[in-house]
Amino acid sequence: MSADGPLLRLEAVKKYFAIRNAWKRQVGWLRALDDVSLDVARGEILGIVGESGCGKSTLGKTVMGIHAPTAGRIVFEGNDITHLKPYAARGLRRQLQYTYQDPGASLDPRWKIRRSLMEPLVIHTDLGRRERHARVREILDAVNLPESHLDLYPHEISGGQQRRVGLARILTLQPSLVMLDEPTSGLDVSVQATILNLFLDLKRRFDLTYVFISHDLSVVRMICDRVAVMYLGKVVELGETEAVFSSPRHPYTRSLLAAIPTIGEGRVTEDFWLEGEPPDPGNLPSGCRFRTRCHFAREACAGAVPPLVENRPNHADACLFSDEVVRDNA
Amino acid sequence: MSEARRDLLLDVRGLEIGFATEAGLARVLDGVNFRIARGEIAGLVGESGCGKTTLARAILGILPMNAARIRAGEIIFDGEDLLEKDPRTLEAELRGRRVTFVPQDPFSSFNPVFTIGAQIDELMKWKSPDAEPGTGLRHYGRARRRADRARVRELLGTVQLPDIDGILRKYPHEVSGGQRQRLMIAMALLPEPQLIIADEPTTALDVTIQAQILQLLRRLATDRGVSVLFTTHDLGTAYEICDHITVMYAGQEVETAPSDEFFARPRHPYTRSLLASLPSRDRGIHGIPGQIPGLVDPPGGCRFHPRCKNATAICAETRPGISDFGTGHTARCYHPVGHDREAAR
Repeated sequence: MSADGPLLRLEAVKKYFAIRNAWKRQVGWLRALDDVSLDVARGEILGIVGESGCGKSTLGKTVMGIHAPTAGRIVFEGNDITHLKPYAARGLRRQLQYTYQDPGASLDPRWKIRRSLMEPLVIHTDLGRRERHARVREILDAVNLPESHLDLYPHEISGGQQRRVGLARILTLQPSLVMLDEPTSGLDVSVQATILNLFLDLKRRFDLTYVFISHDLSVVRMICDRVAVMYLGKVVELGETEAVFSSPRHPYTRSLLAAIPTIGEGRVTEDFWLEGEPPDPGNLPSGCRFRTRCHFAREACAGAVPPLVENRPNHADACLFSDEVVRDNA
Repeated sequence: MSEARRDLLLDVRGLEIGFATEAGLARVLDGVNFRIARGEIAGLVGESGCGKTTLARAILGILPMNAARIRAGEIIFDGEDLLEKDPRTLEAELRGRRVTFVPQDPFSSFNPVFTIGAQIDELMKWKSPDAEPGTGLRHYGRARRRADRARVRELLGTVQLPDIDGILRKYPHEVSGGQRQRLMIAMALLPEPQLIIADEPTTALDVTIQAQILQLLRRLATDRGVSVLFTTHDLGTAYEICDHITVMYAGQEVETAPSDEFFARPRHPYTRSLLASLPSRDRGIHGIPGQIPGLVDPPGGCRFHPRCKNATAICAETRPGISDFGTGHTARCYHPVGHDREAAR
C-alpha cells in the first residue's frame, strides 16, 4: 500500500460484450470499454461524463468487479484487483464502494432502514450489536437523517432521503473510494443541491475519494476536480475540470458543452450545430468514433484510432485536430 | 410580448382540482391561473409534485375520473369552457385534433407490437385534418388515404428523420429514443392542432439530443404558428425554448413572466431559490431547506411560507393576490423581491 501512487489505476481496460443472434451465435462485439486508461488520485473527485451508451456505467461496474474486464489491468492501492477470487474481493468491498443510480431499487422494500444499514456491518465487521448501533447512529447524523427514520420502510421516505440512506449504507464501512453512479439523476434541483453539498461535506469528513459518473455536465463542473469525457467506450478528453470546460480540445466535448442549457447565455434553439445520433455501438465507424458527426473530420480521421495524447500539461485529448478546435473556440 | 398575450388561446382561471386518496382529499391544484397566447411556447416549471402534469392533463381532459374532483375554475380554450363541454364532443373534436400531446416517455406511448407506419396510419384514420370528426373508418377513401400518406412523409422529413420508408416499417424498439421523440412530435403535428401539450418531452434524452429536439420544436412551432404548453422541472430547458414562463409550487402558481423578464428580474422568493439551486461554479450550491409539503393537509395561505425567508404571519393566513410588475410580469407574494436588486446570477 503506497501512499503516494494513484489510489486507483486503470491500464488499457477493455470490456467487450458479445452480440448474439437469435440462435445464440456470436455475431460481433459491443465494445463498451475500449482501451481505457485512467488514474484516480487520493482525495480527488474524478468526473466521468458522457451520454447514455458511452460506457460510463460499465466503467464503474468493471472497476467494482461486477463485470470481468476482457483485457487490461485494474490496480487499487498498489494491488492488482483485475481478477480476484470471491473471498479476496469481499475484503476489497470495504474499501471500494459503489452507489447505484436508483437508490429506491437498491434498498430492500421489505426491510426497514435500520436493517438495511446494519447489513453491511454484519457482513464485513465483527462489531457487537451495541457497537453497530452506535456506528449507524453516527453515520445517520453525518447524512442528516433523523433517527426516527430507522423504523421506516424505503417507500415511506422521499427520493432525496433514499439517496441519503444509500450513502449512509456505504459509509458505515468507511471506504476510501466511492463510485457514484448518476447520484443526482431523478432529483429535483433544490434537493440535488443539498445532496451535492452533502457529498462534499462527507468527503471532507471521511477522507473520501469519489469517481463521479454523470451525464449532467453542470453538476460535474461544480464538484469535480478532474473530468474524463467518454464517447462510445473511449475516453476522448481528460483534464482538470476548468481547463476542459473553458477550452475543450475535442469536438465532442465542445458540442456536449454547447448543449447544456445555460441561463443568460446563447440559446441552443438558435445556435446548436451537432447533428445526428451516436452510431450503433455494435457497428462502429473506423478510426475516430466521432468522425461521422464531426465538423472537423477529414480523411485522416477514418484511418487509425486517434490515441489519447497529453497535448497540454494535464490535459489530454484524442483528436487529431485539437489545436484547430481550440482555435475555433475563440 | 404583451401584445401577443392579449390574443389568448388558452385561459385557465382559478382551477381547483383534488384527488381522492386513502388519506383524504389531496388538493393538487389550488386556484391556478395560467394562460397561453396564440403562437407562443409557454413554459410550466416546477418540481415534482407541483401539479404541472395534472394541469396539462386537465386541459386534455384525461384526468382519472374515479379519483379526480374538479372543484372550481374554468379552462377556456379558444373562447369555450372545456369543463362545460360534453366528453364525447371533446374526444371527437378537440383531443388529438385541436389539442395534441407529446409525452415524456415516447416508448410507452407506442404500441410495441405494431410497426410505426401502421400506428401512424391508424392515427390518420381518425385524426387527420381531412377526416370528419367522429366518422373514422367509414369515409376513409382512397384519395384521402393518399393525401394522408403524402402528409405523413412530408412531416417526417421536416422532423429530420433519416430513411423515412425504413422507419415506417420498423417497430418502436428498433429506433433510438431521440428518433422516437421526433416521431411523437411529428404525430402531434399531423392533425394540425392549435395547441401541443408537451409534458417534459426531453427529460429522458441526452443533452445533445435534447438540444436537437428543443431546436426542432421551436422551429416547427414558429413555422406553423402552433402554441405549445411545455412543462419541465428544469429552468435551464425552459430558458432555452419558452417565450413565457409560469412557475408552480405545490399546486399554486407563484410567478408568471415573459422569459427574458423572468430571468432578469425574478420576484418570487421560491423562483429565486429555484434559480439559486441550479449548479453554477461561481455561486456555490444552495438547496432550499425543508421539503415540499404534503397535499392532503397543505400549509394555509401561500404554500411556500414554511420554507420562505421573507415569510410573515399574513403569509400563513390567506393566499396572496396577484401583484403586477408590468410587461406581463405577475407574482403572488406579499413580500416580492425588490426592484433594485439584479437577478440571482
